[in-house]
Amino acid sequence: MRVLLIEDSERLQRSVAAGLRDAGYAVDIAGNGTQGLWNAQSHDYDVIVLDLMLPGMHGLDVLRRLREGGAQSHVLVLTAKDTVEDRVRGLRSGADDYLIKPFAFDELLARIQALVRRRHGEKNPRMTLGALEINVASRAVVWHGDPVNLTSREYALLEYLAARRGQVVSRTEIEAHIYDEQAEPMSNVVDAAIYALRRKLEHAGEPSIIKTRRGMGYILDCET
Amino acid sequence: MSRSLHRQLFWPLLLGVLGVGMAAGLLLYLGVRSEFLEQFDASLAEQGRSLGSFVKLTDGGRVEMDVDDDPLSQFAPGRHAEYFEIWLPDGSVLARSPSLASDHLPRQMAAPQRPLFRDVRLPDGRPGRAIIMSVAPRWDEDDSHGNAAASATARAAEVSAVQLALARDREELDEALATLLTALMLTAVLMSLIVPLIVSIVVRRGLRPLNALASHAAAIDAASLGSRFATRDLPAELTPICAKLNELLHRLDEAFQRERRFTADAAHELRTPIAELRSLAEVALRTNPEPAAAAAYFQDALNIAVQMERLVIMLLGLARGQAKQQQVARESCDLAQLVNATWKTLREPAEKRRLRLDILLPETAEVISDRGLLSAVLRNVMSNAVDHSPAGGEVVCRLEKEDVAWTLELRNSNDSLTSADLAHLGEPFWRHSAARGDQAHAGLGLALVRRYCDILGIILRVDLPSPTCFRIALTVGDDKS
Repeated sequence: MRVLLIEDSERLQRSVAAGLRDAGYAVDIAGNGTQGLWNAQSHDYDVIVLDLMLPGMHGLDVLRRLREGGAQSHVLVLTAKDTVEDRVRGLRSGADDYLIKPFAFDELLARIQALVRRRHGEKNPRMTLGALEINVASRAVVWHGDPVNLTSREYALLEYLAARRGQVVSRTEIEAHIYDEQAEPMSNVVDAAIYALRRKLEHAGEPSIIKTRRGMGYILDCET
Repeated sequence: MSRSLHRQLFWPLLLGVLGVGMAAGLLLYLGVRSEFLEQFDASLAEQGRSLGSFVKLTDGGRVEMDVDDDPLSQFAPGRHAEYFEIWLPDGSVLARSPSLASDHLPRQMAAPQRPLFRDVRLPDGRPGRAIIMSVAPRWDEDDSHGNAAASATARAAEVSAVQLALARDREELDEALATLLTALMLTAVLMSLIVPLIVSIVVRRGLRPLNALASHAAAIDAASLGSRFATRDLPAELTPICAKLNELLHRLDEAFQRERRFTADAAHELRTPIAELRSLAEVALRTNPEPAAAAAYFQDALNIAVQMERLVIMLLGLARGQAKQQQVARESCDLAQLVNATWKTLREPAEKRRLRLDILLPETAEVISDRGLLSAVLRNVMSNAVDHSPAGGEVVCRLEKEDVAWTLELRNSNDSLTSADLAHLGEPFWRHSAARGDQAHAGLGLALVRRYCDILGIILRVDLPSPTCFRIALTVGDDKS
């Protein structure tokens, strides 16, 4: 899942991005409102974490411009402005959630996870897909009753495929949601990650649940 | 219990109005009574003179009462009878009214032309009033033609005047006076009932604007300082009070808003570094970073601590300045040397920003001031000039003497401030951009500079000589005060 962090404090950028990347999110960073709006309009982010008092363009203006442009990304406003009026104004401008600084990183993460679930129509943090169980909150994966040890990137790929189960997901979409701007995915990096994931989720005598649609992409099919 | 204005006005007004009313009634009664008596006495005197005209002196020098019955009909016995009695100088009775029967009227000696009036009890028991007058008998001219001797005798007789007493009942007079007195008493009773009501209404009505003012003032609290007293339709006495109160409210409101803004800004200013610190620590604990990343986290934590320390020191400086608790130790300082020393610390950041520095300082510039506070002022204004100039811009610094004062003028390139911003310079936490990402400036520097300038007596001026140039000037006196 790909997150855009629009925040002018460099120190907060560094720590929040590190924490989110550690949690398996691809994170892009913008240090001012203008750049943040450009990023948000250029990519389909799952969640945008947006500060309000930004140089260049105020966070609420970024939000309005995004919503006027039809952007569907979920937006979490992360700001030091704490009055009821501020919160109401933020939510009415199109924000999906509002968190006040200072904040607990766990709470920020939980809220981002909740927004990701909403983005993909999930309410339950525990997804059960046949023999596959994914706990989005604890990032734990169980396959045929056994826990599976996945890297952050592998987990992010599986969570994304599971969120779009039954749909063909193209390589481009996977790259857009799993890799951030800092990563430079080579042409076969998605194939390699799919291969590694298939290896960890294979079961004797059963076909892989991740199927390739030649020329189109991949599909997670747990019905077979 | 506090004394109310209503009470203070009501009782004196009530007693005053009632007192004046009753005194006026009494004076009216006494005046009317005096007039009535005067008229009654005048009528009595007229009748006495008329009666006295019947007393005549005959040729033989004898005094007689020459009267027909008809003019004396009112002296006949009866219900409304009048009375008279005339005495000769020797005390013997010359004539008396038949109404007297066996009674007498009081006999007194009245001087000629000076009649005496007495309230008497009439023989029939009615209250009456009597006149006692001296009457000189008149010569009967019909009997004295050509008789000179008789004329002389008559003149001698005129000297021996008779005493005449005439009495008449005064019941009508007393009844009229009693009616008047009753009417006045009834008026007094009515006044004592109505006047308190009227006085109360008048006082209440008069105090209504004051009561409205008091109610409005009592309802004002910290949350309603925006309300103002209505000044339309106010009595002239209250208009200046309301105007002053409104001014006071305006100042209080501004002070409260400033206080609230300051508190909110201070809290807001602290939220971001605290959020940074907390996020930093939590993420470091979660991710178990590599040594290099951990070192970067520690460096960030240190920078945050330094930033917060700077913020707290500035807040304390402002608080001390506001509470007038700032210690001031005036001494002789070389302003040129202080400016030069400050520039040395700013050359590196200026070079990083590719700024052209044009500095012209005299060799020395002696002033009497507090070295620490003056240095803080210089550090703030000069670092602002460096930090807020656009990269590649210019900073000009001049220190010149004008009369007895030194003026430090700093000009720097400007690409953001407008003339509307000048009014906000020096407000705590005010920054041209609302974004808090500028960690080097909390928006307190100029507020502190203003405070210190006030304390040191330094005149501070800021302006925009042109849209691309910002100028700040500090005039430091060299007085030895």
